[in-house]
Amino acid sequence: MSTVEERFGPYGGRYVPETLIAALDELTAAWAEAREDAAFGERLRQLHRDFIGRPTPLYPAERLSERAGRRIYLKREDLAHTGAHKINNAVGQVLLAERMGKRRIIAETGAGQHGVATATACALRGLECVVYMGTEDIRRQKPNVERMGLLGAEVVPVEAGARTLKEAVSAAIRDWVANVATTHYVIGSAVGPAPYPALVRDLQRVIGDEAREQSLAAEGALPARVIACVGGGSNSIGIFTPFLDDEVELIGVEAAGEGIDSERHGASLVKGSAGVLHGSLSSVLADSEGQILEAHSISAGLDYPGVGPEHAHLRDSGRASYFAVTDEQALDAFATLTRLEGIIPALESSHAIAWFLENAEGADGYDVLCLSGRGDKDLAEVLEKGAG
Amino acid sequence: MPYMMAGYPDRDSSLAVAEAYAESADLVELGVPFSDPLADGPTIHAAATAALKAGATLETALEICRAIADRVPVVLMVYSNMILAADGPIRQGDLDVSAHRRGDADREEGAARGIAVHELLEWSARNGWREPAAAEELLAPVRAWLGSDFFAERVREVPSRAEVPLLVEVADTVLRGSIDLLVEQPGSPPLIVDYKTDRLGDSSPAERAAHYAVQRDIYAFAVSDARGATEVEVAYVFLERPDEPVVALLDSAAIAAGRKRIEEAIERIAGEDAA
Repeated sequence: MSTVEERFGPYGGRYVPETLIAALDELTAAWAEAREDAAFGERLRQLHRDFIGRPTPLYPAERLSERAGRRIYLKREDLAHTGAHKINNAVGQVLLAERMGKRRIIAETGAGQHGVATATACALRGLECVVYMGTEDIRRQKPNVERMGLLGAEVVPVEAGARTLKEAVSAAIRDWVANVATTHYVIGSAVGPAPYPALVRDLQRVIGDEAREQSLAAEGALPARVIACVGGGSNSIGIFTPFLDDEVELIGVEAAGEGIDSERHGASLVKGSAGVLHGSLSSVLADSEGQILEAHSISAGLDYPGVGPEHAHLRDSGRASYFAVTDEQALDAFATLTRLEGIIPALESSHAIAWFLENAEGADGYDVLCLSGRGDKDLAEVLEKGAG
Repeated sequence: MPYMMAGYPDRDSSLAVAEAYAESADLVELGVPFSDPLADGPTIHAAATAALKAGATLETALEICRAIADRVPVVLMVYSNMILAADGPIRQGDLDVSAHRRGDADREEGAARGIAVHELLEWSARNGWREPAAAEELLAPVRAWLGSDFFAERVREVPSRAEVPLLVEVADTVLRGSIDLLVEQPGSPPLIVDYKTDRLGDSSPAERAAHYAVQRDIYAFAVSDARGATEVEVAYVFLERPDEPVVALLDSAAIAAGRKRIEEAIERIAGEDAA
């Protein structure tokens, strides 16, 4: 049986209360077994196809290519059920929880996409679902709160700290400590204590597996670059993984918020330092005493002061490169893609588009970009800023 | 043993709280405020947030600690990220605030008693609130050890350290543990003392010690590796019969052979996992 990684270079690990170690061991063992079980794989593939709508298309964005002067394909995760890649992870983990005999599911959510995906997967399987969400995010993301309610999930408001994603994760972990025997925690990104970063990556690599095959079918050659936005880093690690051994440049794009040199950004890899947040050692935004800083981004999904540990390792080893683009650049890219291609992208994905538009010189080969989600959820934010 | 958050609701008030505790508490647990205390509940999280907002830093906590540490033992509750940010363990000078406890035998005995009482209560809670027949049973082995010839001849007059953490890497596996007592006399091989509380019944200490062969290999390898020692002595002291310690002096060949056995044991276990 293959090992589920606990560390990526020095990063990762399990910095959690002792009470969770047994549950993390159990989860590690269950995943090591499930991912090699043909019946489990078949069940997951069937749900990918019939419920999520996979494979998602690899779309040649002709007018965007023309504008940039370089050919680009979009991996259309915005067309996955519930409108983003989050559903890949949620469905996989809910099936795993059932296999482990756990019938109560908890999750955290920031913008609400992961909360909706988890509530959806729980409705599909008839499991109890509790979603922790900061009260500030509840205020900003009302439609997603209502969607979760309709799907039968209970949304628990979190009042602590800045009342956003970071505190929601802490609240979910506390619930897990108290109810670990009956409950599975579906973490929403490739973060958290081991085995979560590896588990979420394994469940998201379907994006990259499909994209690699589709690229070869369309072009007969691999792309020169694979580009994705990075918040916690699940869509990016998902699309990067199958290309790790290829001669393909891997580009991650973080949120520079109001500017990379301002104090208001979410660029944990570009500007962060080694630190522990939410159970793993990675690159985090912290002050000189180790207090975690508030992140900022116009995109709620990139508004997180940590990042998955495997990304920190890929950065250090030089296998992937990470950049950051501002709120303003992302809003411009949002408008550009919407007008040129008739696709309204999530603000998260708009960061990747923005980087591509500004780094399209060089005619060799072509690029693949992960369009991680659709932008309907962001309309209020975008219209308020007067873009679009 | 009260808990308090340093800097909550502000520096001066929390210092006053600490001063009050110093008068009557057996021990004060002092929280160092951290932005994301995920191992704690909402109350401590809220207190930490408020303390940070009021300007609390690591220095605030250390200042409060220093103010009362000459009167009461202080235990800091701190999150690892702050220690990492401090570039390794918190500076040694800062930790010396607890130095007063060395030599303060009354307080140390109090703390040891506290820990033992809590462990017995925990045992009782897990065993239908049975009363542990403990007092004599607990004290007897301690008395036996302190009255033994081995203790008088080899340990009492020699520098030693209790509960020495052990961390050693063998065959890509990190082994952790701690050594009950490490006795180090210049010019002699390090002596590792391991207390055994086994009930011996019909077997002799030597027979019983055979069950702990791998443990001895690990101890010997770890200490020789850490100290660069070519010879290491390992003593298993069965507290039922402390005058019959099972002592082995291991030379470099024996330590190397032990290491090989550890590697084989790890591979065997890894092999079982894979099967």
